[in-house]
Amino acid sequence: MAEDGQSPAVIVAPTVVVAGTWTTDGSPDSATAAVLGFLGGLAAEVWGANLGPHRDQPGLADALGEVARSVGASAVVLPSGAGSESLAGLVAARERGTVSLDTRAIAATADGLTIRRPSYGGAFDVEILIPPTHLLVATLDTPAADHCDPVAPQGMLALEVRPGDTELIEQVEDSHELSITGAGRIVAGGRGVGGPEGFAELAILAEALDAALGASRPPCDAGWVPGRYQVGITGARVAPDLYVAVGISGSVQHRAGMQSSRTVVAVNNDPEAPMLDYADLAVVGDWREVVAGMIDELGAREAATKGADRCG
Amino acid sequence: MRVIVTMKQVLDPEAPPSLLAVAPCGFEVSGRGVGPRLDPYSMHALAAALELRNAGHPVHIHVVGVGPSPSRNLYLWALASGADRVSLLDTVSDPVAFGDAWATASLLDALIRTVAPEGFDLVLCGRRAADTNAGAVGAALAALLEVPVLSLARSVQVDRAAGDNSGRVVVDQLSDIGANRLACPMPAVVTVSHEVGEVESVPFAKVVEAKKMPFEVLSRSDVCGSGILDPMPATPTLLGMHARDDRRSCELIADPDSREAGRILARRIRGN
Repeated sequence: MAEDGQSPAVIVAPTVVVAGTWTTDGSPDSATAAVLGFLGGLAAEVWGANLGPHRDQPGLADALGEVARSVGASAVVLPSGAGSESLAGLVAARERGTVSLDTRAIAATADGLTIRRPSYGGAFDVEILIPPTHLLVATLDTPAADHCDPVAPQGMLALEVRPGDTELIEQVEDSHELSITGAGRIVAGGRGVGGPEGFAELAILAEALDAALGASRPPCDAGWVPGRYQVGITGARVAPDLYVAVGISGSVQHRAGMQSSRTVVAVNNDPEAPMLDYADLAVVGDWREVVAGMIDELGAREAATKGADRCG
Repeated sequence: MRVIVTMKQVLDPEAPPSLLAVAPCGFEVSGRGVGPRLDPYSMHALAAALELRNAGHPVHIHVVGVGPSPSRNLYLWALASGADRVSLLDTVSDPVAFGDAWATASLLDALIRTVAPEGFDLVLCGRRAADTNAGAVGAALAALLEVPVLSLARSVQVDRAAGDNSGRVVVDQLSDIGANRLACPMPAVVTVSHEVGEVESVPFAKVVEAKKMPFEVLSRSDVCGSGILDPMPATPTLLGMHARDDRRSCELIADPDSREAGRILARRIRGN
């Protein structure tokens, strides 16, 4: 009994299933390790489930729901990524649970789990209480998942994936150099780049940095680059180690797509551009000169022709 | 082929963040001088439906939406762009909690069963909503409609022979390495990503003409199943909303020679 006569609140640490990818030697890949680290101080029990070879998402969702129920899990947590976003929605739908994408925090309370996740493209956070009877299915925001030492699951749960209505016809692997999704480095241009010629210059820089080429919405709308380059609410959501934003003002719409980047570099001729507030490193100046200096330093002029070809 | 497209009205996501704030109730966001627009994610769903028509399928596009005080003018734009009918459920008198995907999906389920009793071949949804960012309604709606769901499609095609009433839908679903080409029988729900394309802009005259097209706004008592709209034994509770400050501590590389500043920047990046 507490001194005020009230019973102290009982906080029950949850049982969590981490659905991720483990290598053949049983160690988690980096994204899964990050989730395990994030849960280190939170969960009473952590179980692993290896998604590795499975691609039948409805069947996988059913199997995950079954194993979550078998251990009495309060939450299923997945690393971030396009595949996880899709799978999380399916698991939550099948288990009548709550899906939380890009979750920034999870805490155990006497009333259940509280989560904090973004809304309005990340301009606002919402806090939600998940009752104990309810399954949380969450993906984690990259920075939230990436700063703790991983804990070892106390066991791995076997997923029995049964075929359903969905047929996997084939897997299509995109050309690495054109894909911003999953890229470790991205060089992106905005309206300030001025036109397709500017993107040809950025392509040389991207080549030198071994980066994918991206764009904010205006260059895509203007047809300077294909729509698949677009980062933002209406484009791709990315979380590279390095994001170089050239001539991008920094609207909510664009930042929603890239704010999980580990290091953000801004190059802009406008010292008042909002993007500078959301960058770790910046240069204010003529972007053409700045990019030319970067290319010179990186010794990449010889790659110019190859780089320019990437801008189609 | 009957295609239903779910479309939502949201605060304009292109608005400067300084104009948005948490409303006094603490559970919504309001915008100072910021108007509503159709959710960009929803517009991709409409684009996917129009693309099916462009591919030669005889597609009837029925736009449905749930939310408080829908703007007729916004949805007229969907009709002008190629939709054939709009049916909306106004929840102004009985609002859904922000981000309650199951409640939203339940209302969409009831609305679809009411306004499309003949059924459908496809329901197309955006992968998320620009306001809630929840990403859960499409899968929840499929569960309630008891049809399969294919999510995060960057392309949508229909495999159906002439005169065939069934057929299947084939999508390229975004994956971490590219895409999974998946197929399932119709009827089905498909959520789409931005890669499916954009809806082309239409002249204002077409929007005016669209006023003659089928357009209905229903209330909650009009839709079937309204007595069983809460299938959840316990629902998540929205505790609050907070504006974020994601500003970083920016180090400015100051050199009057921009080219030299670029060289310094490259060395810093290489050093990392």
